Amino acid sequence: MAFAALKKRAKSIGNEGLLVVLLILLLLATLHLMSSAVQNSDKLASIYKPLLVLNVGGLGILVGLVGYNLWRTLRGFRRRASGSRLTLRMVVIFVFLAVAPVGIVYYYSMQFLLHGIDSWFDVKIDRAMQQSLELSKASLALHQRERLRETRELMAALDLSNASTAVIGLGDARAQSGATELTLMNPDGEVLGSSNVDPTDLVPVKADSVLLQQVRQGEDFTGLLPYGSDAQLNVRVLINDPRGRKFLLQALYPLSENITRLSEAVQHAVNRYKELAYLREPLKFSFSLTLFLVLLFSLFAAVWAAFYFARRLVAPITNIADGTRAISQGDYDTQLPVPRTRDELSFLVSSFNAMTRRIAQARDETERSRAQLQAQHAYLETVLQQLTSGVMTFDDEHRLRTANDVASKLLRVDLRAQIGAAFNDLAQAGPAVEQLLDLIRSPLVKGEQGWQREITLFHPNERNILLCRLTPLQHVGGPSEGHLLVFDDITLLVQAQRDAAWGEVARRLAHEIKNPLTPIQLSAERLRRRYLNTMDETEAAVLDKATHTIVQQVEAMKAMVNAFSEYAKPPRLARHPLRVDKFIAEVLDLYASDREVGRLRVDLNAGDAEIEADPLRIRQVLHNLIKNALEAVESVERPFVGVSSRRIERNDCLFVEVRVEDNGGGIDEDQVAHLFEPYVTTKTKGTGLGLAIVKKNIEEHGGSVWVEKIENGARFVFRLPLADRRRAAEERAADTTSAAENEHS
Amino acid sequence: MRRCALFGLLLTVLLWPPWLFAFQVEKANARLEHGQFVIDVQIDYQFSDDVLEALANGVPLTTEVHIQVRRDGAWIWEGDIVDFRVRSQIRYLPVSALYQVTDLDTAERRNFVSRAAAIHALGDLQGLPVVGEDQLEKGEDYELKIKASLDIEALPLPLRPKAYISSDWNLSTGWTVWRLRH
Repeated sequence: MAFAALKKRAKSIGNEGLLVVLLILLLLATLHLMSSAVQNSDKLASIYKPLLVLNVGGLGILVGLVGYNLWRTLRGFRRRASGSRLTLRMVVIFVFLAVAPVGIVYYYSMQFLLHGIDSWFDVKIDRAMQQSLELSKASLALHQRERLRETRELMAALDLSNASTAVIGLGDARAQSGATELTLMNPDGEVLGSSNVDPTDLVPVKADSVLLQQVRQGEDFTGLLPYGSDAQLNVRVLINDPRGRKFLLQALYPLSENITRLSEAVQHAVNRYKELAYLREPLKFSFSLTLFLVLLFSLFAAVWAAFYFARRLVAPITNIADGTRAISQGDYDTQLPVPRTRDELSFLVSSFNAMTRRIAQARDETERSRAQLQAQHAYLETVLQQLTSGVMTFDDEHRLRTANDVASKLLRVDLRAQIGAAFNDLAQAGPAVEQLLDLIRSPLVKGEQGWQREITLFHPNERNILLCRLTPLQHVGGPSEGHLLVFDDITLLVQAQRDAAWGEVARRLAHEIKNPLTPIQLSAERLRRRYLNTMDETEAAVLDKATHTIVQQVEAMKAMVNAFSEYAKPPRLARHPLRVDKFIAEVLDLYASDREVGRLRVDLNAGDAEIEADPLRIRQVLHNLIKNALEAVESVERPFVGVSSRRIERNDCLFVEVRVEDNGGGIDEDQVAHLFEPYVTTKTKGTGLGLAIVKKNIEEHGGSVWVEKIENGARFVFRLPLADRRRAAEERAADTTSAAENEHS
Repeated sequence: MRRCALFGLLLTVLLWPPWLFAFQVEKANARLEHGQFVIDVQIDYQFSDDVLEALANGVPLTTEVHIQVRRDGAWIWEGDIVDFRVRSQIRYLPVSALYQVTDLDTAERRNFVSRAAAIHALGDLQGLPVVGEDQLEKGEDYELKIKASLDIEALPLPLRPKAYISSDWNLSTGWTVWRLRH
């Protein structure tokens, strides 16, 4: 779980909280304004509708937020998201704690409100208002009846014979009666004449059609009418002519200012009271609506706050749960956002972060150690593989733990595939392994210190002599951790020791035998010269044969001693540049007759390849090999001896390879391993030193020689390195100096 | 009346069917007087029982006649040539048993002994100047839009929440469009 995701979650909670707090503050302000408007504030009443819309809209948003939070929490609960159960439980508790008191307050507020409004409208007040209205009306009706009587008298007294006298009569009658205005009209309401106390007021009060209809039907009208710029209350009378003439008379009589004022006061009070009484239910509705909005606002704000604080409180716990899960899955880099508040949760999260840091550090340390261990292991493995010794280790239960390639090669078994194998199972891997394990079984079990032994392993075509050393593996003062077996192939070393011994024998034999041979030969020849002619024929023949045999055998012994001497000669080479093919061709000139009969075939492909070598020694090598080959094919029906050369490259080094092969029947398997040892021969004649000298000469030139079996024959191969001119010159100079010193000494 | 100006209300187009509205514009006539187009409009205010009950209980009712003149086929962003409102109020005076109709723009009051006469007078707009002749182009068609409604915002505040949502209080003629040719 990424730290950024956790921090983003915490930030999103904070942002939502800020937005909703702003919304709640806005709603609070609008609710306050709305409440003020309901309480008869004229200024605010004009914005009542926007306030109402704003409140309902804000409440809708709040409901949406609560719904969203509820949906999110329930979804988390269903998905078993970490922290969802705790959040839901806390929300339920918070909501219960908030709803219960708010509901109680709302219920009693409504009760107080409704009863309070009802108490404004007492039955007695209602009756008093009605009675004051009736009283006013009765008082005014008295005035109206009086003015009706007066108006009828005026109408009856009017001379309506013509228009002018009628108008004059109207003026007098108005002045006499104290009326504000007298208007004479026909039954259709058309004004015939009018007199007003204000001469500038030329437009008389018109009677509407309903009123005219009523009067025309014979029902005189009396009523009240606010009149003039000051709206003074006047008694209005509209009557038919009591004398039956087809005229109507409308008269306006002012009421006293006092009556006007009192009437208006009563009217205003009654009007206000009736309006209030009528508005009682709407007022209850408005107050209830406002209170209900406040209730909803409080409820949803409380529910949202419950979600918000529950999530806020649970968030660090959820983070810790997620972090713990991440750690259990191996993610030790988890870091949780630390809450800003300095409380126990903050301490818990900080401790968690410190713990994960330490775990991560320990893991890194372990990783580094493991990497170092692997590097060391790889290094040791490399060292083991580069060793020329075979190395095997066994644990304290004698199971194979490690083995290098040299060990596998020497034992002719893939030991890597046997890692972990038990001792007895490992012995089944191959005969050489079995032979070796049988040898070390006893010291291994006994835990011998410094055990060392030579063992000769027999393979199908060769034998190896191994020098084995077994050492217990043990830390200082610690328990045994197994054994280390190291073995070296000392076959060549033994061979070299044997060669050296043979050389010494040869040298001494040559020295001891060669000295008396010459006197023996001379003595034999003297005997022959002195006594051959003095003896009879028979004895002379015996002497001749005997001395001849002595001389011949002495010659043979001389040849043998010379051969021994040659074998034992110290390696002093007279190196010269030799072009191999040219040199071989010169040597083969001596075998021209064999080439002519087709017994000897030559295939030289080394080109101008040149070696630094002693020509005498190489010539001796070639002679020995070719001679051996020719002797091997003497009894073969179709004899064949092949001499070939080529240039090859092995391990970035250039060599000349020369092969001498024949079809002389080949060499027995058991002789191959000892073929190049002195005094080993397959022929009835010979000293047994030919191939030993070949090997000695080739090895002294830094080359190698071996024998291969081919069909019906054998192939002898030797390789010599191509000349490095500069180094060869230096070596020649050194050889020359050494030779001079030897001669001088 | 000058003969040079041929005008008239040629066609009445009701944007909404009249039976959907409680108020009706019964007739509208326009004429040119002294370089000014004036209209005579008669609006039939069919108040609901709830509204009449409120009136009888001393609640003053305010009506508003919204008048607009626009060039026929004008783009939506073109301004109105004329846009004004005429507000009137009717109230009951219990002591004098009169219905008083007040022009709220001029404060002129008229008193009626019957409610029917007062409501009729409330809807009777005679000689209402609308637009100057010089504001209209000759040969061009114009739309005269009239909408009369009960002003809920002028009601006492406790009545308003109910009035906002009740069809008994949402009374209007809807927009009636009259074509005016100069």
